[in-house]
Amino acid sequence: MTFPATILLLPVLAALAAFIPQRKVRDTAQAVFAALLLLATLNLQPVLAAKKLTPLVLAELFPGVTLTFTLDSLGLVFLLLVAFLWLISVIYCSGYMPANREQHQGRFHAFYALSIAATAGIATAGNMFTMFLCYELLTLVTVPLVAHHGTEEAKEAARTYLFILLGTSLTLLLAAVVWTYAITGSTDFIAGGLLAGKASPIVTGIVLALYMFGLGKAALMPVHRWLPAAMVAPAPVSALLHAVAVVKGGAFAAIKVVVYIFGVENLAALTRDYGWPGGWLGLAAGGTALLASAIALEQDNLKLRLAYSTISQLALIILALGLFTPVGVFAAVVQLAAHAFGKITLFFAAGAITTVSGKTNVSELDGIARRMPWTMSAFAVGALSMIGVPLTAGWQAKHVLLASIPHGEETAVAALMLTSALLNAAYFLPILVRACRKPAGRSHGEAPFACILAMSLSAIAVLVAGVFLPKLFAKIPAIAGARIEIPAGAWVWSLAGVLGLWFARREIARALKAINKWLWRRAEKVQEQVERLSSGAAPLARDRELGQTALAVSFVLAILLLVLYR
Amino acid sequence: MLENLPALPVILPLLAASVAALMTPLRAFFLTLLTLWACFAIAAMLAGGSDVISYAFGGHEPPVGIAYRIDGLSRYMLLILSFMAAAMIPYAKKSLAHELPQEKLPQAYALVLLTYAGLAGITLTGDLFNAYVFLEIASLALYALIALRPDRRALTASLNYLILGTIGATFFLTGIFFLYAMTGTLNIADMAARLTVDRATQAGLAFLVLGLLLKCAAFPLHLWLVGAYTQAPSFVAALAAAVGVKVMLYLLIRVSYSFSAVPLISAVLTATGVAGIVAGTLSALYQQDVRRLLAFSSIAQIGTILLGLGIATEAGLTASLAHLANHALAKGALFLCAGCVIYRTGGCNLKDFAGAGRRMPWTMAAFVICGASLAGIPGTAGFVSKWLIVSALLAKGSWALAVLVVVSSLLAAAYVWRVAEAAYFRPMTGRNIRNEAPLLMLGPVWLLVLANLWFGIHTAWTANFAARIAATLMGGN
Repeated sequence: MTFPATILLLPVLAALAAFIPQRKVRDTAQAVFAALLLLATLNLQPVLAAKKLTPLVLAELFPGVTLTFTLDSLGLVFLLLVAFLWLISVIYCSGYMPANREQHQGRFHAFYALSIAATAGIATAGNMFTMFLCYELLTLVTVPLVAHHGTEEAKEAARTYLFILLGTSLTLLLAAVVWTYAITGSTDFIAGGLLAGKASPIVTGIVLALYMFGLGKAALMPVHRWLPAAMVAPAPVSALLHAVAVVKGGAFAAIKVVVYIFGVENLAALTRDYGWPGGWLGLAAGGTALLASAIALEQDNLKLRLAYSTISQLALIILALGLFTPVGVFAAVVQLAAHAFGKITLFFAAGAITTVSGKTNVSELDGIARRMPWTMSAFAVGALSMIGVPLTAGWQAKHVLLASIPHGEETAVAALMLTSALLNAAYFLPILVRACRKPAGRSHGEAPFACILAMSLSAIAVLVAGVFLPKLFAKIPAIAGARIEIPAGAWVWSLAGVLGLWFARREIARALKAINKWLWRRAEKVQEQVERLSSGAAPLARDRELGQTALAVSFVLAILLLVLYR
Repeated sequence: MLENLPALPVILPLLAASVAALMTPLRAFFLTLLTLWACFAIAAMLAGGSDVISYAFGGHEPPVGIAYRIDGLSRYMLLILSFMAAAMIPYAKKSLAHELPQEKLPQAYALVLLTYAGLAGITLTGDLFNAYVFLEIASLALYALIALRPDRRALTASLNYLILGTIGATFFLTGIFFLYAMTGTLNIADMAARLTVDRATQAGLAFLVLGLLLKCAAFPLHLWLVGAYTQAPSFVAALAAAVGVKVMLYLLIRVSYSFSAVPLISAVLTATGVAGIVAGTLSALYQQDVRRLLAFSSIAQIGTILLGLGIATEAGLTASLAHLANHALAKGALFLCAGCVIYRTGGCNLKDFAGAGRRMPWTMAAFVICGASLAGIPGTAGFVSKWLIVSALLAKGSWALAVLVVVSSLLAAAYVWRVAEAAYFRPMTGRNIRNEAPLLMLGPVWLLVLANLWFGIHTAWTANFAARIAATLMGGN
């Protein structure tokens, strides 16, 4: 059977249904469409298992470049994840939006649903070109959501968001895709790698870098700054889009690129022989994971702390990917899903706290658990999963990641993961401790019921995944057979790392801020100079007395042409 | 009748123009509408064929008589021209009535028809001097259209355009003199066959190309364009931006590929193209007037087309030709959107756009989509041409130029964003916009928007058509 276009159409229809004026009807319609998307995706699973799905080709743009949608098992996981969390988020919205008296709810829901449509497009893209198209579309339809409040701050954030995401994709990613096309004459996803055997090690390394930094949504440092900026958006946007759909869209695209454009074996072989074509990826991801965690330690704003935590957790996905082993890819997918459940719960809780109490900072959260027990229970589950406490989804993800480390890199990767887990504990546990203290400030009750329901569902999902995933792993010999042991050296290294980062956290934050400021100042200087140049050229461009200038220029050019024609 | 089809896109509007000037505004509008739609139908019928049609006027065969020669390139350009004119003309009714005095409207419609006739003539004719005549018809009509607006700045702009345009036309004519003196013929095909490479021919071609570069607003010769587009009535600005300059580029392509015995200096085209991209993009970033912004952006886009020609490979030519169509779609719609805002607020500064996002949602949505097309966001027509040009540059190994094109398209996103930000985020001040533009204006805008989206996915009539033409033209070498 051909890939059904309903998967893409359902969210679009939901976007149209967002303009129903009655709030209850509209919210119900959104939930129905989300449930239908989930069902439609589940329906495809048997077809996929029987390998009877043929791609849906909509158009051929250039020879070898088509607009194609199809589904593979990787896409199925991502699509299921997004559809399920969309359903939960819609429930959350129905409580959150009225409670915060948000304006323009119709517009909000329309773009919310369109983001899901674009994400579904990323999940089901049949080739790199289609994925690029949906990736850009996702950027564009999420801008109105980031700028939703229309305040000066939201405007500034939308600008940063748009420029980093469009700036990376329209330059680096586009260059990577066109380069791939120039080398192979195609952009198809091919098992074993489209570029395998066709690109030299140098070109492979450069194109890989273009892809990884071009996919700015995966928030590899230094292209991560859009994510903290996007935190001005309403909580459901941060929860579904900036913890799941958008960032995971980037990470998912990165997985697809490594698996189907470069090929895991190809990259592993090149990295083994030459070192650098893929070797830098693990370093970049590891560095991002640690630095982002160190910055998160310093954030008092709860949503910002969550955002930097997201950056560090995304880096773990890329890290798993950067091991270039088949199990590593699997680990990346598990981490992608596990983090999604956990982080959406955390954002839901943060939004609920702000809704009820107006508090946004960690330092204000004293005793919040006594007033909002449900919310903080869900938060605790999410936080423990981030740290990687056993019986949560996060622990299982770390488990697979440990099992996927190739021989010879155990100490480094394990130390990195331990450090990251300890840092996560260092910035999440204090919140939980604070929440159990004596309450301060004015009294308030629990979050709206719909919010609690949504949070509970996602928290339960975290726990269910924590229990259920080992059964899945037992079926995969490479994981079930792997002996997981953490070398003693890793403990030493990570302890040293944590202590170092902990004591240097202020310096790191300050240094990064200084670098950032320096870069902005450079950029502003360039801008100033360009402005001066253009204003210098402005008198030339005035509409008066131009005849003579142009005539002179014409003659000069005529002479030039005559000379050149000789 | 059917064998006379090639003559009709010129004859019909010429006849209609003389009648329209004497009618009431409403009747003149309907006559113009019907004529342009008929011309589009004819262009579509002509585009259906694939063989080269030679049509001798009055039965006098070339090289003695004037002949039309219609090949793939002519078909393509005529189709773009006629589609844009036919799609945009309903917009003219409200917009022109708003911006021009009532008694000048019939003249305005007559001039629009003359412009179309001139431009269509250029695409069809196979005679170099005839092309010059049509070029003057189109240009004179445009000068007059700009001067019609009751505004002193419009008069200066028109005069400036007139002076520079005439210099360009004179250079073009001088070039024709040289070539005629050397070959003794005016028919392009005939001339190409007799052309020898010597100093006089080279000088002639240099004059010809330089005149055309001025008419195309290639970088240092672009100064007329900004004033003309900013001061013209909105509809005229849109028409000129969408197809006026494009037809001049067509003529440049036609001349350079017909006379390929004398190698066209691609270095000059590349240089002016690159300079145009840099200067146009940087200037556009700092404009307060949205139409000036769009005009500078046009200079950058023309630079892109010239750069594609300068690559001098089949892929480069394909990219240029595809961008001719895609840029016409985007820029035409953008100027029409700016016109909608002028219709409601009377101004076109960024501050006049304040609050337009809320009060004119359809206009601004159209602006954003077409702006995305200008910036080459995937899924829009602009992306198709950007992809083509970047891959053409990569295939040639010009990394630096590919980077330049990519960065300039990013900066295009930046200046479009400035307008979008003003429309969606700025609080309304002073002259408040009350409501959306009338349906008669929105219709053409959205037709073009849909075309931008359609051609972003379906490339049969743009990139593939262009590729076939490029193959024919390069095959002739």
